[in-house]
Amino acid sequence: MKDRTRKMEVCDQEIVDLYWQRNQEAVAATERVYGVRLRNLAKNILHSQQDAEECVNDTYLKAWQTIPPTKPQCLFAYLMKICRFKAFDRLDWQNAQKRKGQVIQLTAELTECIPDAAIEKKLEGQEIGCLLDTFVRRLSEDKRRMFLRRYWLGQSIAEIAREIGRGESYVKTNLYRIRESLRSYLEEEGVLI
Amino acid sequence: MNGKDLLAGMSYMDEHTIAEALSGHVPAKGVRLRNLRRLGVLAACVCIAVTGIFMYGKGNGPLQEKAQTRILLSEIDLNEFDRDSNDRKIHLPNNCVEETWNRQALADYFGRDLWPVYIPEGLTESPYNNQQTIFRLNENIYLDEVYLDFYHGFNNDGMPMWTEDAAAEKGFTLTAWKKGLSRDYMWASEEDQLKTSVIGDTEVVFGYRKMEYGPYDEKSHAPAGAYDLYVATFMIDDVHYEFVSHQLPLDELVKVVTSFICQTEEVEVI
Repeated sequence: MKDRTRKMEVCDQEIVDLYWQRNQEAVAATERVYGVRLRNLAKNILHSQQDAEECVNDTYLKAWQTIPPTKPQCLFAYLMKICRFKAFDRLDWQNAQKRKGQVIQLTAELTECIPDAAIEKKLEGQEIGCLLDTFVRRLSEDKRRMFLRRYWLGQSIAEIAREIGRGESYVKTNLYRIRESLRSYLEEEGVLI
Repeated sequence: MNGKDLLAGMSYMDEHTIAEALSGHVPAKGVRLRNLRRLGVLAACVCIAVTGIFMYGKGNGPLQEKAQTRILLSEIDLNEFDRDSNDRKIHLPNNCVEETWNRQALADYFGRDLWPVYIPEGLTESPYNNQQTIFRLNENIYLDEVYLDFYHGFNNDGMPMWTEDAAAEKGFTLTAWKKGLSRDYMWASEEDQLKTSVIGDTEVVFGYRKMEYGPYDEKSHAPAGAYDLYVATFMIDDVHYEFVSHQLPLDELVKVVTSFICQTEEVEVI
């Protein structure tokens, strides 16, 4: 409970101010408020506690180096984004394959969404990001949340079901439909790419 | 482009999109569950003591001309529960075939009509209740979890609407399945000694938890309020049933459950 109370004391703006003041308490406050979620994200991708810890530390360092001059409007998303980049930088795909990491399952699911015609196309990460931004904005709020929890955060079906208060079948069904929509969307967009 | 590119490329998505979907406007239910987990209020066990449920009306007692099932609510003893479950990850193979079942098909499969006889006043059923998705693998049923929603209103996408006075839905969901899935709310392990009560010939486990709802205060992160969530789980003829009620009093859930088990509208909860 003490931990939670402390978390309540500090809001995003106050943490960002600490970074701008070059106050090292900024990192400690970030850890208190977002440490668990960052660690979970990293662990979902890396499938290793130790790698996840290092990834989160890299995230704090990057945040310290970039704020200022950056003034994130949503610190949570800013940190999560850094953490996700760091996690994929560290990811050893071959090792993940051997250990049957969650990321392999997610990759397999997303592979279903790639239209045959798009397999040969080479897209830059930013182009993919833009495509997906447009796609998820078309989804209803609930579907958007499910999709991003699954593929951006790397959460398990059971976790998502628990967090949205629905059965696993509901989540699976919706994700299946979203993937089908994504495939259709990429097919449509494939003409323009 | 391949699945790896797509997965990794998601990191480039706009921060606002991520923030909106994952942190900002989180629905009450999601926030509530996460907060409860974070709080770590792990009860020693899910100790649902439901005792003294008396059944009348099945015999030929002189007191009743009309068969009626009577439940003594005062004898129902609920204990708070909260516990992380062991995730049961169900893999859905790519070659699963999706099928939509209506009320009759569900009744044929589960061996009874899934619509409770008693529905509390003000609740309506989801337009999707009659279109349940089942997955088959090699002709056999692979995933058979179905859920029927009865709430005070629904959005266009079938999700229950929130009430005006609380950012949460009001009503209940019945989930039924034969193939084992997760226990969404009854986060109990197999070792927990659950106390059960008997309604009709069926052992029922009742659970309770306080559920917070948003919006959450930006600075203090305090919820806007909390409401009562009740759960009732049981099995009939190898089918699992779980009722979860939101913003409904306990007696209404007991009445719904009794009407479902005993298949009668003549239920009195006192």
